[in-house]
This record gives sequence, C-alpha cells and structure tokens, in this order.
Amino acid sequence: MALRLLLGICTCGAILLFIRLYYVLPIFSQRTRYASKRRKGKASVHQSKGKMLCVVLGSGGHTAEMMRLLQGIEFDRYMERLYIVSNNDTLSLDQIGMVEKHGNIYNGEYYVERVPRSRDVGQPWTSTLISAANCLRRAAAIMFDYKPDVVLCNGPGNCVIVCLVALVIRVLGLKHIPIVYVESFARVRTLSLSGKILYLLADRFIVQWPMLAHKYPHAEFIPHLV
Amino acid sequence: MSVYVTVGSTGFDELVKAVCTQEFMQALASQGFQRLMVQCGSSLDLFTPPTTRSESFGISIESFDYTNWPQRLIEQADLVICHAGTGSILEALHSGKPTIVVVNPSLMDNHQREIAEELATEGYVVEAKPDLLAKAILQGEYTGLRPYPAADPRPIGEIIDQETLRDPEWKKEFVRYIDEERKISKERFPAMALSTVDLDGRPSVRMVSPRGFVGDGFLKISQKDTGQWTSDILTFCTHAQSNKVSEL
Repeated sequence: MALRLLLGICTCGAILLFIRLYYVLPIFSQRTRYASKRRKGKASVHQSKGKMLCVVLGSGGHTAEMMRLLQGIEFDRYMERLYIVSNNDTLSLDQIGMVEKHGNIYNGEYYVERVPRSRDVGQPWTSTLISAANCLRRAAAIMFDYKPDVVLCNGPGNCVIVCLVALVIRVLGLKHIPIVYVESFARVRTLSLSGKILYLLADRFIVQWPMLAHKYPHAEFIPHLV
Repeated sequence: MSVYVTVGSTGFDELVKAVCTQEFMQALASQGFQRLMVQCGSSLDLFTPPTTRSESFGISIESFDYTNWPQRLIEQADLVICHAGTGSILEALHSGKPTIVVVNPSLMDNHQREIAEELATEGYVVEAKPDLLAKAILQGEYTGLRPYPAADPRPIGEIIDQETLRDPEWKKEFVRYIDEERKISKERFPAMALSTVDLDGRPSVRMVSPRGFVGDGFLKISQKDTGQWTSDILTFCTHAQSNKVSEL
C-alpha cells in the first residue's frame, strides 16, 4: 500500500519535472513562436549592472582556444570572471594570469576555482561514474555559491558537469544562467562528446566549420573566431 | 634558415624519431636550411640525431623537452613542423610561417586528422605522415601556402551580451533583426512596420522609425550600455500629424 503511494508520488514528480524541463530547456523553446507567449502586466525596467562570466577551462588545446575567444569579450562589461579549472591543470593558471593582465585598466576581479577531473581520456566508464560524481559535488558547490550570469565553455569534460549544474539551478527557478558553447576549432566534421551532449542543453551552440552547421540545425557557424 | 619542430604538451615518438634521421637532415640541407630546433616533449630520449657534422649534413641541431615561449621560437623559424594539436596549429597559422602538420597515427579517436586534412585541403598547411616528412621537405610544397586570415572573436562577445541581456525573448529577437537590417541596408534607423488590431478585430499597419528602448539609447547591443538602466519599452518616431498617432 505504502509502496504504491510512493510510486504514485514518484511518477507525479517525474511528470512535473519533465514539464518543467520542457519550458526551461532552450532546445524546446526555440521552436515556439514568440507571439504565442503572451505577457501580461507592465513593462519591465531593470538595472544593467556588472555581470559575472564563468569560463570552464580544460586541458591544453581547449585552454589555448578559449584564451583566444576571450579576446572578443569586453571585460568591463563582465566585471567578475570565474574560471573553473581542473585540479591537475597548471598550464591554465598561467594562461589565466596572462589574459587577466592584458589590459592596463583594472577590469574588475577574477576568481579561480578548481574541480577534480570528471574523466581522463580513455578512462573506463565504471570509474568515470565515481570521478564524475566527485566533480559534480565540487562543481555544484561552486556554482550554487557564485551563481554566474553566463557560462562559456568549449569542450573539456568538466564543462558538461558545470553546465548540468547551471541547468539544475535554472530548473529549480533560482537563476537563469545561459550556456554558450563553442565547439573546438579542431572539430570539422564531427562533434566532440561534450558537444553532442551540450547541443541539447546550451542556449547558443557555435561551430567553427560549416559542415557541422548543416548536420546540426540549432548550431551557428562562425568562421575565423580563433 | 631554420626549422622548428614542436610536438606539443605531451609526446610524439614517431615525429621525434623521424626528424633525427640522416634522410631528414639531407632533405633540410638540400632546401637551404642550416638550423633545426626540436621541442620533443616527453619523447626527448628518442631524439638521437647524428653526432658528426657530415652525417647531419651541416645542420646545427638543438633539442629540449618543453618551452615557455613557443611563439618566440616560431618567430625565429622559417619552417614550422608541428603536431596536429589545436594550440600549435593556431600558433603556426597566425605566425605566417610555412607549416607542415603531422598527425599522430597512434592516437586513438583521431579527430586531429580532421583539422589537419581540412586545412591542407584548403591550402593553408601541408599535411605529412612522420615517415614521409623528408619527402615533403624535398618536394617543397610548403612554399606555396595561403596566408591564414586574422582571427576575430568579437562575435562571441556579442553572443554573450545577447544572452545576458536579461530581456524578454522578443526584445533579443527584435534587436537581432534590426542589427541585421542595419548591416544590410546601412540605414541607421531602419523603418519598421508596426501592426495593431483594434477592439473590433480590424488590423492596421503603419511605418514608423524605431529609436531604441528606454534606457538603452539607439538599439546597439554590441556597444557598451549607454546608461545604468535598460527596459523593454520600445520608442519610435513618426510623423506627428499622420493618422498613426491618433490610432496609436
């Protein structure tokens, strides 16, 4: 009897969750016509103060590309930057230092937070569950604490975890954190694993080669970013 | 003239072995190169160049595992041979130096091949396998390469601005259309058709000139915010004596 009640509650919970996800996930909302969203009430006026940009950094090639992408962002519009790096990634720390000292003007503050690696290349999937859970725990603590205004990532495994947490924050209704994903310059014909996952979750999905934009209709093709 | 070989942040045994052979040295010498610098990464102990001057065909050879200044070394080189990692490829491409890209055949899931092949097909680099490197040098294909266009990452900044605008979807879409229209028609204030429906259900259209949102000034998202406030109240300009005004 109690079991049936529990089952009933779980089913209701699952249905509510899926309905919420439908309204929240960008891949569904792009298809609805904006005219059909009727807004009641008065116009909104809000203050456009400094925002926090969250950048997820991974190994070597990803970081090199991300540093080039960051050149296109005006830091005085994002007065706080949060860099999420892997525990064993020292190279990225130097790169962050360089890009932050780039301008002569003191452009706000930046924070560096470390997470355990979610998965090493070729790591068996069984141990990946444990390492990913570890990464998730730390990423959740960071994201719930800082609640950045936007997440920018370009492919390392950690970014899937960070974006999942951002999505949870959105689903819970705490804050709308858009995800901007830029697939690596190295990906000409196929998406990376992170790309395939985040194609379904990101608000903006940018690819750097035209073939991918044909294969993935929601993707935006922008050449010569790096 | 000098050649710089780089394997990136890990190692690349096949490439390191291929660039210390006599065959490779001879190929370099025949093309007029005198100096060879090899960044070996973790494959340093596999780098065993010839010891005598005649065996190395007069090429002066330097090798090391890692460097903090890859760009400086690329600047000094007249030819760059690099592994197919994104970081190295981009540095080489933007340096303007002729580049030979070598894909690592022993890497699993070889998506490095995609970028090397694509860039080679488009004529920006030469792609070669480690054992065919000497031949590639002799054929001198690296001399006729296209210069790589400069990078412009600003669209990413614009996209992030659009996503963080915290404005309703219609406003983001509206501004996107206006920006596109401005680029195409070169008009600062493109005209827009504003349609309304009265209480009896009769539609009416008139042309007006949108002038921005209250607080935001003139509809330019990619510029800095003009003020501390922004809104979704759209302002527009129209002829004061037309029917539009009384209708609206």
